[in-house]
Amino acid sequence: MELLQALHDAGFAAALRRANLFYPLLNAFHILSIGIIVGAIGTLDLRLLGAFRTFSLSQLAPPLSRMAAIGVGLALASGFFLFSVQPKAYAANQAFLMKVGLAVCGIANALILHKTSAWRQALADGPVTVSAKAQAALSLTIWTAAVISGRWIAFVD
Amino acid sequence: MTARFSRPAAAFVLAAALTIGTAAYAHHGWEWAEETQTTLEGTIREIYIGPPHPTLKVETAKDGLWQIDLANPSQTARAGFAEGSARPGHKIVILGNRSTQKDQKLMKAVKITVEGKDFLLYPERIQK
Repeated sequence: MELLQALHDAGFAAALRRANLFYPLLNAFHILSIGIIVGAIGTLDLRLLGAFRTFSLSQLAPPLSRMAAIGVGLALASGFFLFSVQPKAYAANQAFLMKVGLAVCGIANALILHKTSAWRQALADGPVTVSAKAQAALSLTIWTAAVISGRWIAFVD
Repeated sequence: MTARFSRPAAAFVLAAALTIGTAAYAHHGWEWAEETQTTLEGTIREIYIGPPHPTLKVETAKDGLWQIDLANPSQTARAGFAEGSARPGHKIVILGNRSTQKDQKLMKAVKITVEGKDFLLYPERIQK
């Protein structure tokens, strides 16, 4: 709670509350980051599930994974500053908490997949295993739910 | 991770995401609020001025703490309501449109009067 208050009182948080321009810009940047995540990881998930078969995973997976990781980094950075404007309100907002939980699950799911032999096999253009497909389906579901939860932050008490 | 595990997990995530909707409201637009304006009187407990949306928490004698949505940050500033315009403990009268959901203590203000001073958030919408 003290940490949240300290964040609320930080100079940049106060500046964001006062400035007319920065908050909407930051907001747009956050949306852009989410677009990068979902666009990249969604395409990769669909490829793992069997779409776009003419394009090899050895070619597609590395850039799509990296773009998704960049999107996550940008979303975290912009999200931190958006959060700083009203830390206590967001920390008590159920939709916000659910979104953060889902994002953590989505990131964990991706990190776990990258450690599996199924992933190395897929990267070598071998057959995509059922477990890798299941994780791809889970990833699509989690990130969609995370976006829905995120949008819901403004609509719950 | 197996397919057997991930399917219920996915179903749970979806169900959870959908249940959040039950307590939904929107500070955008007026569709969620009553057409007729009403007046609310109370004491300011909390003030938030800034993006994404300025709000007040106002305690009424009758039924406790209400959330008052002001106009967007620019419109609220144009109405003259800024940091220092009000403090917790000040008496306030709010003219506005309350949520159509009777159990929700939420009102969108068109005019607020703090310690006798008027702030016209939506001058063109004032009905009386």
